[in-house]
Amino acid sequence: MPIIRLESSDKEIFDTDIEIAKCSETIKTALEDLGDESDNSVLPLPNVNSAILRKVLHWATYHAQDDPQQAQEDENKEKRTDDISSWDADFLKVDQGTLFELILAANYLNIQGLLDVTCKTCANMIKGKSLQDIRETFAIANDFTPAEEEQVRKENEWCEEK
Amino acid sequence: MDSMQILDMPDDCLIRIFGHLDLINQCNLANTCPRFGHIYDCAFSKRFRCFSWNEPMHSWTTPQVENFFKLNGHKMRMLAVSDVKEGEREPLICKAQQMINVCCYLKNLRSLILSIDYRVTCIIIQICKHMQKLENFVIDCESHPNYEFLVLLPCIRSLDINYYVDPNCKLLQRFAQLRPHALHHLRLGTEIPLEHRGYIAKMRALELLNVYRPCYHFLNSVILQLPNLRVLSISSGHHLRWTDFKHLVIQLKFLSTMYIIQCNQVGDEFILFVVQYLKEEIRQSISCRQLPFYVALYETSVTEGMRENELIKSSDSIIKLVSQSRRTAF
Repeated sequence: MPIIRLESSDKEIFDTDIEIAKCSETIKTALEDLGDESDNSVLPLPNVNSAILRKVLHWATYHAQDDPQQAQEDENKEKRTDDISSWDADFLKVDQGTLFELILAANYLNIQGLLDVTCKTCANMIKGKSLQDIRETFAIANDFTPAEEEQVRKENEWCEEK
Repeated sequence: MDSMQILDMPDDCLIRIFGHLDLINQCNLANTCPRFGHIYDCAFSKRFRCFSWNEPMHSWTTPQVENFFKLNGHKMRMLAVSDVKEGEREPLICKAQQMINVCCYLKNLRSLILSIDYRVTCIIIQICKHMQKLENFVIDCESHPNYEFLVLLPCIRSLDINYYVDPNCKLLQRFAQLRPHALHHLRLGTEIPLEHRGYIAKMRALELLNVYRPCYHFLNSVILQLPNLRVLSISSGHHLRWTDFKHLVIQLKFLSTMYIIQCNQVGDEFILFVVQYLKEEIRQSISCRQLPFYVALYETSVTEGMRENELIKSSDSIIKLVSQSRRTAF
């Protein structure tokens, strides 16, 4: 089984099955660029720390057998958020900070499936909530000043006139 | 290290999260802080250009509706509004008040289709007050609200009023007196009150006219006075003779499209005349029309065989014929 050595931002090395690592388009492209030189070399992932990379690889291992074709089709379908598998739901029972870091990692590594399911999970935390509830859930400060609101409106007007 | 916050994520991730939300939750999120508001505007700047105010918005509360239009109204160019609730007979009364409230956010609207039957005069006042760019207005309202204010819309070019039934309405009079060249398109879905006909004759810029049950006199004193007519639709003209239609073709030099609906005296001889006449115009190089001349016929006496007629078949660059003996979706 060919192995790729992934290095997290905090310098931990993860020996990973190449096929699993390739669910990340970013890694796949990097491997193609390296060609044969990739043998035993270390691929640094400076934007992902070891805790998050471990989770990402855990997810990728479980989903290694998924049909990529299906993921493609899902992209075109109407967006739903109630179709998260129970394994994924369990996997994503994490604190907010970890969820956001997973979204960031999935985005950076370009793993569509993981990006989709993490964004859906985040969307589900927003759905059905009032404005105030959303602010409380995510600790968003209401920093709209009346002047700012006016400013946003003005900018829009300008866009619209083009 | 502090735990990561939602606003620490880059815009493209936040746009994805927006993508998994429905309209109302998107609005809520957009209103939480300036950054989300900005992302929402950028991501969906083109999204509501043509908008149909419909299900599932009917279950929204009035503040939710207002919020939605506050965020998106300025992006809208075309809007269709109806108070008909799918599968129910009773109209949605609250929609009239909601429409009154949101007009102020619709200042970039060019086209509006309004199908509401309650407090329409109030809505029209708001429209005139706020929609300074409105060009096309279609209204389907069985009661006859005060349409007179519509003359105040500076950009209005096209009016379509399904029920024009109040003989005291001053709309046409106002246009004829104050802005006779404003309207290019006019459709009135009911018979025009006698005393209003002269006003239409003064609207010389009209290029499209759509009338219901006109009499011979109307053709003569109104339609023939409109030299720029390009499209003419006549419904329920049972007492009009085919020779009346012949005069229209001869005198209206730009006329290129005719819809003839329920006019049983119009038969094959009219079509044959039009072909001959157009050919003569072309021979003399005096044709100003956009060819092929398009004739759509519904419930007339033109026979089915007409389209198979050699003369028509060989003239497809001059005339295009569409006919139906039964009136279907039209």
